[in-house]
Amino acid sequence: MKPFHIVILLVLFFGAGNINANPQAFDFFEKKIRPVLVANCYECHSPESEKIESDFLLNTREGIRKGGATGRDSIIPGDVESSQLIGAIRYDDENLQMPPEGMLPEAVIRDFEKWVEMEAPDPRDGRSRLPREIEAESHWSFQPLKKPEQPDVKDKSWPRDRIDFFSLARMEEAEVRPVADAGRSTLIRRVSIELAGLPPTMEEVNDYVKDPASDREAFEKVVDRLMKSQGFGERWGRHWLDVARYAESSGYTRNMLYPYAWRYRDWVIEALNKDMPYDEFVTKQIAGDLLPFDSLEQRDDQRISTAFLTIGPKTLNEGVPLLFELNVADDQIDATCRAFLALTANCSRCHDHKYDPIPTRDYYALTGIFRSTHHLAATETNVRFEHGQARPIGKDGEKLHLEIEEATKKKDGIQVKYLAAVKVRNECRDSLKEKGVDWEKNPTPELEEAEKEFRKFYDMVQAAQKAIPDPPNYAMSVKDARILDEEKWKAEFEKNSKEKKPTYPRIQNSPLFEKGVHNSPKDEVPRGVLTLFDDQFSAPPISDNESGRLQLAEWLTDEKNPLTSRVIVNRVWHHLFGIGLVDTVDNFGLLGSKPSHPELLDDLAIEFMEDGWSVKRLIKRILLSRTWQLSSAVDEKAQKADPDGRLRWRFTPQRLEGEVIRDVILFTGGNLDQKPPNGSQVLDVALTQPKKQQREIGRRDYYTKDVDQTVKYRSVYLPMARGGIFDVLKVFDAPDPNLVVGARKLTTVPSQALFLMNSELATEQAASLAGLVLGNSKDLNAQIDFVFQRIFSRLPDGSERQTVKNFFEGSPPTEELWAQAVQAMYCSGEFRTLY
Amino acid sequence: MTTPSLISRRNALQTTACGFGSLAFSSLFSNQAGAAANNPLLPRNGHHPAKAKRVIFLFMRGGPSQVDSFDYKPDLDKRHNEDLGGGRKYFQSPWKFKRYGESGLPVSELFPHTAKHADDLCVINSMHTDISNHPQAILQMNTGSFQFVRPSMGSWAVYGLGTENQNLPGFITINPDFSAGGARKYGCAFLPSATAGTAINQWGGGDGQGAPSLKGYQIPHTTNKSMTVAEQRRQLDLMQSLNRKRLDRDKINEPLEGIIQSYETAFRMQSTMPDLMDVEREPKHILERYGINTETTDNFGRACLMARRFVESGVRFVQLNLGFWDQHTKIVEGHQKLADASDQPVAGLLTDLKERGLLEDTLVLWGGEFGRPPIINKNAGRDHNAEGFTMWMAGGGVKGGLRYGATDELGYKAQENKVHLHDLHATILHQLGLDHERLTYRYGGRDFRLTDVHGSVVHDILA
Repeated sequence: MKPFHIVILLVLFFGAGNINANPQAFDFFEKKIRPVLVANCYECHSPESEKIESDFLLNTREGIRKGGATGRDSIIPGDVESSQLIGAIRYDDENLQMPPEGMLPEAVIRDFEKWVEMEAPDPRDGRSRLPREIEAESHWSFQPLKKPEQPDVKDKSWPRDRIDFFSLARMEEAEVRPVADAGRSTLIRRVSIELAGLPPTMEEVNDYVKDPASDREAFEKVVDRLMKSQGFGERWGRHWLDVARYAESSGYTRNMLYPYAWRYRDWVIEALNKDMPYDEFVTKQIAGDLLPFDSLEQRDDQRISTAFLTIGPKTLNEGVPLLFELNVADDQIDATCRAFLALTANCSRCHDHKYDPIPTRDYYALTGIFRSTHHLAATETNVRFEHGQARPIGKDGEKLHLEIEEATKKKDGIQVKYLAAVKVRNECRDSLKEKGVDWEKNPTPELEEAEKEFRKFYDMVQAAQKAIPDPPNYAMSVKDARILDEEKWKAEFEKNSKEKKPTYPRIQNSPLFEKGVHNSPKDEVPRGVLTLFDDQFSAPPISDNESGRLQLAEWLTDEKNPLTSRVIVNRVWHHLFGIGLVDTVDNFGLLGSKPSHPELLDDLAIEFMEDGWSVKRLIKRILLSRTWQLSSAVDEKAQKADPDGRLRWRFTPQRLEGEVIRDVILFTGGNLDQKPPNGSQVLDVALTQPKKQQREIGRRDYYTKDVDQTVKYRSVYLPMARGGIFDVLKVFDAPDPNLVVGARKLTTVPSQALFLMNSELATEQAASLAGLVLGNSKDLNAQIDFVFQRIFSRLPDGSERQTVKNFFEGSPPTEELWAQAVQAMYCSGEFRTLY
Repeated sequence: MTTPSLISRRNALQTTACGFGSLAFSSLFSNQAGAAANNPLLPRNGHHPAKAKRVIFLFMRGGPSQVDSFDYKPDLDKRHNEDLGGGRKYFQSPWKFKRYGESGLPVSELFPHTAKHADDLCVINSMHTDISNHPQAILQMNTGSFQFVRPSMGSWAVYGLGTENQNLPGFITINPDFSAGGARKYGCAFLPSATAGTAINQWGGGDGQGAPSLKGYQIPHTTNKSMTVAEQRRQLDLMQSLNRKRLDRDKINEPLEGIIQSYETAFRMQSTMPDLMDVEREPKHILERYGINTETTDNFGRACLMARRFVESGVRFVQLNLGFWDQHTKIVEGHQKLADASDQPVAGLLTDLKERGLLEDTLVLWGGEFGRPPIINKNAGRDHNAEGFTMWMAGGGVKGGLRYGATDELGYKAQENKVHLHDLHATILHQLGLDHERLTYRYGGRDFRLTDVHGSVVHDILA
């Protein structure tokens, strides 16, 4: 329940009640009340109960007053009729009759009523906390970070880096030995795909394999080269886009395009490529628009980054504006808390979080922040227009935008007159026609006048149209809402509702909505952040004229925040190993998993912050460890002890995502266009419908028939309309962009096999590579080497070579046969797996 | 069924004894259970013995009018034309009702063919749902939630039970439209992606033209344009021998075993799917029964016959989509057209299922996302009504010839024995042998259900 309430109660009632409580009052409690509670209630409602019913503990003053899962105050001192406990023992409500075995004697009920009337004097001090609340307080991820000692290991020769000490120590504990190190040719394929999403070229393999430098130095060179490539941001940006539930349409009930979402995509890729410190990366997504800037480019970038808050799914045909607003805020709370903190704060929308210390009040404190935010999504329907504006960017963007609005208004004004003139002229013509007069040959003076007017306004409309300046560039973004008092806002809302016009939000606190129901607002909650770390550090205060997003960002990126750094370090680890140190990467709450190496996680998190929140250096630190560079061989003993590989005794093979499979197929076929496209197909399609309300996916095949699936640029740039994701990504487990997805579920299902066996992508690129093979050499052995190197980044062994030769049945293979063989390799397990 | 994934290793092992019987755990290594994790489609038993092994959901998108179809309201005739202002008035059904079968179930002349199955129909007149906007209500019908992204009914069924035929998808939806939630209607949200519906003939939607013809339709990627079947088999043999070499080298590589398996299944699917979809292989009298090759009934007839062929072959959940029953204007023309297009095919399906002994363990479900009021508007149409509507079920262990629950005397609001959509969902799962309170999936820190925190099984309608 609501800590704020409790505070008030404490002050108003407890304090007062108890200071004034005379011994007789306590006496009444001890004689008449306590024995009844002990005899009839404690069995189910005290910490000793086997199962605490309805989360209601009545063994303390605090507990009996605040009540349980119903969310209502159980005892309101002095107010008998409103006290739920009294109703329950009276059997007033057929759904809540206590004790359930039978009603208490009439006299006892009277005693309880009297006791409440006396302001419920109760000497039982102490906090009422459910066992799970006590557990929550000591939950590992909510504790401050602690720099661990480097653990001792028996085999001192094995560890190369600090990380290795931590992993080996756990292995030794479990009596498991690490497998052998991976060879250079395995490593370079692994690291190239991991960092840039593409396999190494033959030259890159040779350069590395033959590099006379030490293993470490040679590998470091490769890592540095890959981290400098555009592909790094494209690969790792995609990881973040999964978390950010990135998509280019509103999805859900009416699926409207987000024409400018792609700028956010590009911003993420760029941020990773330039190794933007993670705290800055977080801050900009929450409050970039509120930060100072040195240049227009910086200002625009910081606006674009906030699209994080508005690219989520929206129910754009929701008829109730408040419900729409609350649902949008819910998406923002979910995305923000899950992405940065791995917390499921949106569970607290209807009731206090069942497991984590997130009271409903906290949820509505965040709701206030997000409701005070104005969405500029360039997306609207005939029901909801609030997100219809876009953010003009570039030099003079705002000015141009205003000029366009002005000039358009002017044109619309003239247009009205023009249409009137058309009408007059047509009426003149018609009346002549009715009289049988040929108006073209014998115009009346009246018609001539009308024709003149018509031409005059026609020219004026043309001129006015021409006077509208070319539009500036636009971005999807948010900004702080207006400062406006409630009455004015309400008046505006009334008026706008009648005219079907949008009413933009204002800076405001949100009430707490009981059980999450929008038409049952309770008391207002001041805007603020989650309170679970209040005893460790606090957020800066939020003033009346700002949303609070800036303070939220500061709180998220405070070095004392125990979650932010742990969560991102774990996300990075997850991508590099296929399984996180905490395997529930999006849930660090009580229902999440415990870390396999808690000290290592803290060590990495602390070093990460000390290292300026640099994601690239974090990745490099992990890649250079001996732990990451193990081979993927299986050790039977270790496998038995630790089948999931959480002890890191080997590199667990990873299945590749659809993006990588598509890019690698195009790359090996020689047809991947590595130049990033300008914009997105979504924008191109959107611009074919100038009216925003017409941009609904699916309506009259809009969008579905307009997008081009045959483009050859990298997958991260493919259009990402919700529900309209391209097959190649969909069949290979593309994440649902309605949800924050830190760990994709990678399955093996026949539809993937069908795609690789029959899709145009696979057959065309196989044919293309076949052409390259035959052009490369006439010698079959050389051809086979070429294909293996290209597809698997290695040479075939003798038996593989023979298998391919057998396929060709002794005659020199035609291009067609080679294409079949190449496609067989695209289908193979090795191609789809990272070893 | 409450661990993070139904098929998590530990869970799969625990379940082996009571359901995963057919799964071979060939290795000592518990990681082998990953084979189940890789393939959520393997068949398994539910929580209790099932009355229905499969479901065919005839989804009447747009909301057919109950007082014009299966909810006979003689009192409405007495109030006929009573003015309600704004051009709205009570309006009796333009279609006459007759009683059918031994049960005497009343059905309007919109559905003369379906009516012949009156004694198999379990008509629920007291349906109600939460919202009367199409997109939300459609999502609620299909996923239980109009507000949040949730798995669809079919996905839940496949998640709970897997599917009988590994050469076919577990959940197929025919003629879904792209609008009103699009793929969410048959999506799996956080459930394993193999439980998502496979769409056949997805179409634009939104402008009321109806789905394009199924004749000649092919599922993407099930045919190869450049190779013969024999050539492709040779190609797969090359690929599989490369796979096996890798497997020999690695000794243990269970994900690779999954991949090897998936190609064999896919290869077989390439012939099974098109074969099953090729309804014209059926004898002439069967085609006629479904109204195939007759213009008005051809498309839905094909959909219905395909559905029978799918369920017969072991597909767990088949959904057919027909729309749009949303006649705000000229309901007489609109409803008649859709009834003409679907009545004979639906009746044909019921006859066919019965003849083959499939009806007893196939649950057939018919209805829209909501209903329509007993009121006509100024455009000779009926608007939306979420407070009362009718659905019917047949087969799958429900009582036939039953008219359950009731709306008020005019057919507006559900009144007697009300059945909420969540109750319907709970009942469907129950018939499949699944307990809607125990069929859960943990996502983001909490257990999700098709029925959220609602729903009770409607035991009164169960045979």
